[in-house]
Amino acid sequence: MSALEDRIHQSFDAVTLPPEVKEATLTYIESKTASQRIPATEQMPEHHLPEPTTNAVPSMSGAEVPTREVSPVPPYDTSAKPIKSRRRKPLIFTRRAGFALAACLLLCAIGVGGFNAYAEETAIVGVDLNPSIELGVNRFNRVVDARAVNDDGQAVLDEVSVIGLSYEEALAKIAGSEAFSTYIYDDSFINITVVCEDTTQSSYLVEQSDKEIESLPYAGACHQMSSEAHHEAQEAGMGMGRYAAAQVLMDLDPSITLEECSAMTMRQMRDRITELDPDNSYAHHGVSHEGTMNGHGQGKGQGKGHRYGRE
Amino acid sequence: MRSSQDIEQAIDTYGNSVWRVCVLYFRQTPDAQDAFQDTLLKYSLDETIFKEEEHRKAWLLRVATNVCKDMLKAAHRKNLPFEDTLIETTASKNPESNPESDLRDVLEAFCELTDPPRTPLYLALYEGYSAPEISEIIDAPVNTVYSWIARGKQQLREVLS
Repeated sequence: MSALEDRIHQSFDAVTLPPEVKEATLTYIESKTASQRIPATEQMPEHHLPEPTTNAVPSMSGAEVPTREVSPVPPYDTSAKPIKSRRRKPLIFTRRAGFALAACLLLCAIGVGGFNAYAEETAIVGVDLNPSIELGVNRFNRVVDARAVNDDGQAVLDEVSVIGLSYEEALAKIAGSEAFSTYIYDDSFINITVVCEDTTQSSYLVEQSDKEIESLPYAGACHQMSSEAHHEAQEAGMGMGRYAAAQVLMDLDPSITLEECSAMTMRQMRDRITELDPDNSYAHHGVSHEGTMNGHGQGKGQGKGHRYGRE
Repeated sequence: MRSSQDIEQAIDTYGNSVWRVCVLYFRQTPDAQDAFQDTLLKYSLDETIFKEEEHRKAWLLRVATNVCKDMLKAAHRKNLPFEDTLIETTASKNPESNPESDLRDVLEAFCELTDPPRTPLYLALYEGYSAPEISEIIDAPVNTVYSWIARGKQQLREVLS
């Protein structure tokens, strides 16, 4: 909790409901609802459930719960003839059948476990130009999911299928798609953001992203982001790169809203940041966010990024 | 209609939170009391079944916010100096734990903010709600709530500095 929040908590903790206001409120409600109210003994408060009981004990509402009369179990009639029951032939398990079953179950378990390992996302990569896309990447650096963050991103995914491709193949396919090229201008700027707890995989994805950016005819940068910041971006309904840029811009200019940032291109946001703070590290290097951002500026006129923390 | 026990329990559990929202809007204690009473009256007459207690609290805060806004629209009241409300609302608290001057500064700074961002900022910084949760409570777009919170923090820092 920041110092500001700490002060706010201490101050508002001291603001409490005066007892006389509580009593006056209860009296007020009673006077307004007296004609409609049914006796309390006939109702149960809904956020308390009565404890099940077989004895007569007072309920939450104060009324006694009567015991339930249980009729006695009828005696067993010994005069009746026993009914012959059909007995099924026992199923005999041979040792051979047991081994075969165990082998099948083991294969199934390996198959299911293997599939789960393949399908599990161990990294998320955000691609923001104006289309915003998120790629779910597994531990084998294969794309196992692709999600559009905005309508433009959906148009790209409608055109290209990247599921099952290696990360570098998927990135190249997206960047080379006709739908993606619609949003490319001379001054375009692509932002790639990697969210990954595993440092080895994260380094690999950043390296592949840098290679792809170098091959593009426009500028771009690759950053890393914490999973917490990614969650915030998701809550804001924005791509990770766009969200991080918006946070920096709103800090520099409080009159700018998140909605306005949503409507700006990545290049426009970075240019605005440069106008407001020419020395801002985000403008020339990687964006800083929650102390887990690394910037790797690539492309036209951009240098290598550094790690920055954020207050 | 809810039972007396239900209403009293709601006041005991969430009365402070609802009261703080009313105080945020009205510097006059009688108006804050009116808003508080109207909020709990609405609660007593409502038949919503809450799946979780957090839903009950959010419902109360949402209704309190709407009641306060309706009262402001209806009466076009001017706020009295905050000191009156401060004395009334902190009378039952031990002042030794919080220097009164600092308490005044923070609460005064809050009440000096326009609304929005005052209410969303309070819900975020004190009650701990996320922007999507606040957008449901005050019925505003979530991106707008994010902007209000960011701007409100900036304004609050400037006032308190």
